[in-house]
Amino acid sequence: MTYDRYNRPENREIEGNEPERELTPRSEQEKQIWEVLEQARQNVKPIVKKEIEAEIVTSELFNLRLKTPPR
Amino acid sequence: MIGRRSHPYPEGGIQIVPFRRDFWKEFPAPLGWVEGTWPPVQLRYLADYLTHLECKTVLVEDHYVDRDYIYDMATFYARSLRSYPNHCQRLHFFREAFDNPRWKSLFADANHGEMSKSRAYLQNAYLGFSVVRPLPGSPVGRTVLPTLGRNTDAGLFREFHSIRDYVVHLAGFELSVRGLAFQQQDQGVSACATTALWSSLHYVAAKEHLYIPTPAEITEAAARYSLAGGRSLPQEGLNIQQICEAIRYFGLSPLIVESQPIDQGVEHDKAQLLGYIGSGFAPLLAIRPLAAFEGLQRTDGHAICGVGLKVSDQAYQTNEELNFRDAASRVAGLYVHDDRLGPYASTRLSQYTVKRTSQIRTGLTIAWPDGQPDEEAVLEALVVPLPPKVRLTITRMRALGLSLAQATGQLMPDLGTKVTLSYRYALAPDYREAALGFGLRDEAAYTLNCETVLSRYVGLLELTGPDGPLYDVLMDATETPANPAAIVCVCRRGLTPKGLEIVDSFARKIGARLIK
Repeated sequence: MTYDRYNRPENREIEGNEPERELTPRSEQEKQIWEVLEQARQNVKPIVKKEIEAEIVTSELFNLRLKTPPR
Repeated sequence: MIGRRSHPYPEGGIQIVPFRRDFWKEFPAPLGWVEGTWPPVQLRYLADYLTHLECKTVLVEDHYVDRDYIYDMATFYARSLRSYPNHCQRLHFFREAFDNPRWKSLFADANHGEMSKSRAYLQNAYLGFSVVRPLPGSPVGRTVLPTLGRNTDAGLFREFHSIRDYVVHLAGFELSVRGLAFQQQDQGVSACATTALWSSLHYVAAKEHLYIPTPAEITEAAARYSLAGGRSLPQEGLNIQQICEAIRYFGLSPLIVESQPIDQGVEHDKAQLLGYIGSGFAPLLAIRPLAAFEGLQRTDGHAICGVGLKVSDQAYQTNEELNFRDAASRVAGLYVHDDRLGPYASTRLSQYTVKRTSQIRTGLTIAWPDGQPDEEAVLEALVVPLPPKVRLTITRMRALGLSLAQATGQLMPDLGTKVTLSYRYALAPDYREAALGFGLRDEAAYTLNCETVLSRYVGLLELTGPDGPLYDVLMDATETPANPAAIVCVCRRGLTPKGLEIVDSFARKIGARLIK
């Protein structure tokens, strides 16, 4: 058995010693698609920002005691 | 002569009683002054729920040693003045009507070579069990019942992703029930947070092959470094910090997500609930009753366990700036284990406007099985026990998914705004198995299943059009936010040749391998 998966051509690009090159579109159409994707990222940014904030825990929440209130 | 008490081994017994709607009357009120109401609400809820399950017969096992209770007993009740027994009763529920002679004949048949026939009869009729603890004020111990059917009377659907099989041994018969364990808090070793976390861990710990703790062990773990109420026993509630400590102690990682106000039609909380409950990670939900939330009462919260989703079949979009539908909009409600009420309590989600701030928050109305509302509350936070290597959160999944869905809706205008985004975690082996049913070309299926390395859990983004799935994106769930995490884009049947080119470009941009 050989451990040669790192030597597969498709992985060499990623894991090789050559410096990473900036990704460039293969065609004008691809360039436009990427622009739309980037615009979409900007459109949804406010939603994502709020949801990332929700994962930052405040000390008030951290200390919220959960105890069944009396009925 | 000093009399010595001998301690003979106990004798068991089995009784059969017909189930009645007022089944709670089988439980006489304890002698003495009862602080709470009698019968406890949980007993009445159980009777209602069993009525909906069309229960006909209750089989009572007189002497049952329950793992959870005996640990509670050793930790707390053994040092009480009253001599609490160390055993419980266990009630088994059946949808077939049978009496004691019939039970004895089933048993005799099994004893004469007809075991499979008797077992099949009992299994087909079996509805689950409930342990009755010898605690006067809080008798409802570990209870596992099945969920109600998929369709609700209102035309919605019930989805449960965090239920599992429980094996039950009864007089030599091995039976099983599929559900999630519930129990009432006893206020000795457990409060609401303990029992909600206990229910949550019953699924995820079993799935991850971890130890499933008892309520007393959860309380001990939570109180190791911090005491919210001054003493750990009797239990006076846990704060979220202590809940996190207990989750870590049992080998999982707590994730806290604070509830966010609803803004421009975007219901962030529903997205989180869909993502985690839909993935089988039953979250502990920190809620606050309305009066407490408005500042009219004390401000302690309450904890429940989110077990299932109530969904509609149609997603919608109310934000005109977005070109897609969010699957979160399908979520109309939840099914929760509320230890103040009972298992799988139907919970309607609504938009609640806070009087003080005019913020729109996620409101919850928890109801009885017949729909009668029991309590209204506001969601404060989710605490999700996750396997430690699941570092990618639903939020991070959505960050990529929302962008892709928005761009897909724009670049594939023939789909209108009918592109729907959903997101969840999936076990890689499960996804690979499912992928063999996607109708992929042989080469594509081979590349995905034999040549693509996936993390054990993957973040799964599913983009669907009106005629079926368009493409999936699998994300590395072990990755941190700083690094790209998309591994592959899997093209599905609903994608046109033009759509395929678009997804090819998406895949290149996000650094994912294209499987087409």
